[in-house]
Amino acid sequence: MLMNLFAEIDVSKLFGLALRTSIGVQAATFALAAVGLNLHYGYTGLLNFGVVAFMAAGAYGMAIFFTQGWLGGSILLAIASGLAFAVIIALSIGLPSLRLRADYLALTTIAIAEVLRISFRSQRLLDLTGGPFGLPSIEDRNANVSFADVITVDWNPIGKGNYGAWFLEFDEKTLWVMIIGWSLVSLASLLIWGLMRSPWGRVIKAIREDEDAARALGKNVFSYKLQSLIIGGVIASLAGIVRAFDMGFVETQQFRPQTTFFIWTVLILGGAASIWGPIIGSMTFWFVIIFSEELLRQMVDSGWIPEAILKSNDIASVRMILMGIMLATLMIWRPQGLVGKKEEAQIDVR
Amino acid sequence: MGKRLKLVSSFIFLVLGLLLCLPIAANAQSDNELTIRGTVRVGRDVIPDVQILVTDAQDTEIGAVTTGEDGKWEIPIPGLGEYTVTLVGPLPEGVSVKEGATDQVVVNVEEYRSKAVGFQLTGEDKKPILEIPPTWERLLNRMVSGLKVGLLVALASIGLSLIFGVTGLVNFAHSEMVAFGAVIALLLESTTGLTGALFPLVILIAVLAGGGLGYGLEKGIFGPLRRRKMTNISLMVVSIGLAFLMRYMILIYHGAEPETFESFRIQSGVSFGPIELPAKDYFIIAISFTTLLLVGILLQRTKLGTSMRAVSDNPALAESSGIDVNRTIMWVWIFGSALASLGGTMIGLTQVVEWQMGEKILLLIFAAVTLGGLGTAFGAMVGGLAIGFASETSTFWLDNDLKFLIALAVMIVILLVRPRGILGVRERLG
Amino acid sequence: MSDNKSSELGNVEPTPGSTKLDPILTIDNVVRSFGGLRAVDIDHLEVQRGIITAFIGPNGAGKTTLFNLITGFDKPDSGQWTFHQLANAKSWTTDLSGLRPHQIANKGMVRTFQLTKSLAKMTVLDNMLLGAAEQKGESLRNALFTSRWRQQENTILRKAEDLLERFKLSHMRDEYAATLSGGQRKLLEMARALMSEPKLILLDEPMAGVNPVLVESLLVHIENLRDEGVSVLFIEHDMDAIMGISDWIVVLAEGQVIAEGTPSDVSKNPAVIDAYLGSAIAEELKDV
Repeated sequence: MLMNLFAEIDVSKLFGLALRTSIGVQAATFALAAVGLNLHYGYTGLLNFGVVAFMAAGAYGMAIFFTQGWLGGSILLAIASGLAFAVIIALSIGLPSLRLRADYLALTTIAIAEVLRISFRSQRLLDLTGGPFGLPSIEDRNANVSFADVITVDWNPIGKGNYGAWFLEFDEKTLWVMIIGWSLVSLASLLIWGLMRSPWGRVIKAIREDEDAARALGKNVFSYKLQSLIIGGVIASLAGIVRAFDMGFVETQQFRPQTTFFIWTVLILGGAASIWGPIIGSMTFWFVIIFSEELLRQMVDSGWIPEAILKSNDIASVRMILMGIMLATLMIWRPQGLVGKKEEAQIDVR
Repeated sequence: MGKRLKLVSSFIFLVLGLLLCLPIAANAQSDNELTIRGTVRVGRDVIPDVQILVTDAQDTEIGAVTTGEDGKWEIPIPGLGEYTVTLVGPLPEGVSVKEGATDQVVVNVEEYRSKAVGFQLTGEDKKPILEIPPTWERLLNRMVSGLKVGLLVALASIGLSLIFGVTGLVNFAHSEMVAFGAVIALLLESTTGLTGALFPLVILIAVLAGGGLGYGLEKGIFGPLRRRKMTNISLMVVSIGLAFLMRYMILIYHGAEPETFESFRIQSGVSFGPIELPAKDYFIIAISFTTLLLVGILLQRTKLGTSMRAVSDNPALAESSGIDVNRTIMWVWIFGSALASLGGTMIGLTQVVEWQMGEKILLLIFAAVTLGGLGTAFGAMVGGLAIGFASETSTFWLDNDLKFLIALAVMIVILLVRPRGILGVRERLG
Repeated sequence: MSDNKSSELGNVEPTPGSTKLDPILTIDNVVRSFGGLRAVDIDHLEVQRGIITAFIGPNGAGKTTLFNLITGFDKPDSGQWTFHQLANAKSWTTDLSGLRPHQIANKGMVRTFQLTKSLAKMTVLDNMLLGAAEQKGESLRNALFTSRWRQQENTILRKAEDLLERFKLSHMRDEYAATLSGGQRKLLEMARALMSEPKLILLDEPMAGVNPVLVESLLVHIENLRDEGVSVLFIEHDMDAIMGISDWIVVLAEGQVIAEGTPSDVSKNPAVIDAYLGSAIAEELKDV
């Protein structure tokens, strides 16, 4: 029986697809967003449940600026305006709410993220945000025109063609965005590493431990939290921008609260408060998810799992279930994740 | 806060405020958009205030609107393809879908122009429908339906608030407990044939199942974890994981298709003075109201209620005065989960039962309990009523898709200005 | 009590609200009420520079609340308090009322907490380094440029190691603070507060929960502080300790100053004995 199962499984495809995703753009963007969240939650102890608000701010800020053709519609200015939008979001979350208790901050951030998403989706903003259809407009999308073109086509130094082999074969566009994505991950990680080894980072960690102690030692806790929120938020917004370049469009469906929790899972899996945590977390996360999905798919297709239990078009839901299980079980049994320090990982922010 | 900081933060607020107003103030969509549109009419009379829902082939909601005074509606769609247009209701008294026709129309949009969709409706005795009721009357009706939604949100919220009160946990899986109730009820109705007059039995079993779910969660997951001294923040993250697990289990076993209870298909309205609602709404309002009343009595007058409130106020003190804290927490889970289940069933009755209903109501529930004050059952009731009422009534002036904004805005403002909510007690200082 | 610094006190009247020769902190009309209860209600109080002042009083007398108020961790309903940074210079003063905790700490008035706030998931050394004031590397502008803060960091490091040596914590230098005993945490918190070279240090029950052997060394540390010129203000319940090392005692009851004076003044004050100390403690005081 078991031999029979192995005969049905395409092992090469199983590992190939999983590996492909774990080094792909998606993994890079999730790692990038997790680097931002790591500064918020891992180091500063801010319970940010609105990661997606920063990603949306970056992506929409960039896309709106570009599609509206403001200031000549330069893509670099568009990216800058995406980052600026993220700073505004960080300030508008931070200034009023950083004094709140941790769980209240969590609720406020998730609510602000939803406000942003619903506003973008509103039909009244159709001319600006594309409403439910996103940007660029349907006509442009049908004509294959996107804000991503400048970056992925015009400025692409890689010649047309496919590179790599086996399941790890990428076209020049994907490869280029992958390079951009992982470079940004490296840069952001380096930045966080540099910050956290400085006295600045020491204050940030102290705030995670005990705000009042930091205050009693003369540290302006509020200002440090705001700085953390802005820096982490801008990093997360870069993730949103890279993802937008990868997909070629933005729409509100990409920014539902579940994306926030994907990123939380990535961070907890890798290990909060560690430099490598977000990167290892994201790669492992996508490997496990795609591996399981593909395994299930093959088992369903070959009749090993009867239709009554799982239909093949339900497999996409398995991803979410896996994510839920991972998040909960990690929290219970391994809060420090794969590479985090056990001593630093237990959450007891108040 | 320094003066400069104050200035900066008020500026930011202004910007944020403008941002929030944008969707409300911006111009309506331009003319050359791809839309599905139509006019709801029976004979030559148009019907205002009927909700229309458009979903795509994957059952993702594209948009929902309420017909205007002229009975007209229009919903933009993202591109060519197949869409399902649903007449959600409510239809005025005496009007129903024609024999042989349905309240759902599938349209295939094949070219870049708006597509008109009509429903085949019929007046009961061919009597022409009277002219459009006056504005105040429609507003009144919207407010009554707001009251209904408020009662439902209150029902669904109490459990979350009670559980927070006795354990300090913000349970993100609570909304899935609401969805669970609705799905169980639907499953029962469709498999056992307990329809019509027997339907209350379905509700009862769903409530019991909800209580069982609460028991299972406390016994199997949250109780043991709490005794392992996990912090409430960690437990909150666990509950998020659990919420996704439950939500997508529901998707797999219930399916993506929204369904309605057979006992309560589209019903024509029943008048009660100027108020005109589908018959089931009276039923829902009555049940919800009675339940809330009973909950109030239970909390105030019974021993269990007293110990719940005592544990909520001060667990250590409650323990030392002879209250079995763990037992009380268990009852709170059972009780809160059963109420969530009832709320879910009722929400399924007014709208549809679908796997996403938990996600959709989650933030409404959070808004309700923060408004009322996390941890107080009466706060959840008041907050639920207010949030449900405000968001539903707001559709009289605002787009349907903005009604959540009202709830979220209330929640954010409350969290910032008065985190303990309107009925909550200020945390004691060290 | 021979080492008590009566010289700096001069002949100050042992009456509530008396004027000191050279106050470091003056408190005026500070009121804080919870509900209907006036937890703190102080008309006027001066704290003398260069000595050890103790706040005593029964539970609920408002000692910790007063600490929280003057260090900015709680807001009074009304009132103001002033910090006199320079000795014998009443004009060079700072109004502390309305300032936030970190601003007050940066003026040179640093506190510790009743329940120690050692940062458990940081090492003992990091705890110490954090204490230093005006670090260049703590500003985001400089953080990434090691050259801008390396030198200062080394200075701070040496200072931290000296202090750790003095407080006998050197062997725990690289351990997480979580591994320290209760008493060691108190020591660490005190040492950390000293990193910023405060002018006035406020200790909230430094001896509570510390084993008797350590209490002895804590007392020595506190006396050493005074001898180095740091003014000390502390809350304590341990009567022996208070009588042993305080130069001046302020007695609080129901939020008000009911008496102040040297240990011997206070132990003889009938109002204190009647109104608060009770006969059992009065017995103890007679021995002092």
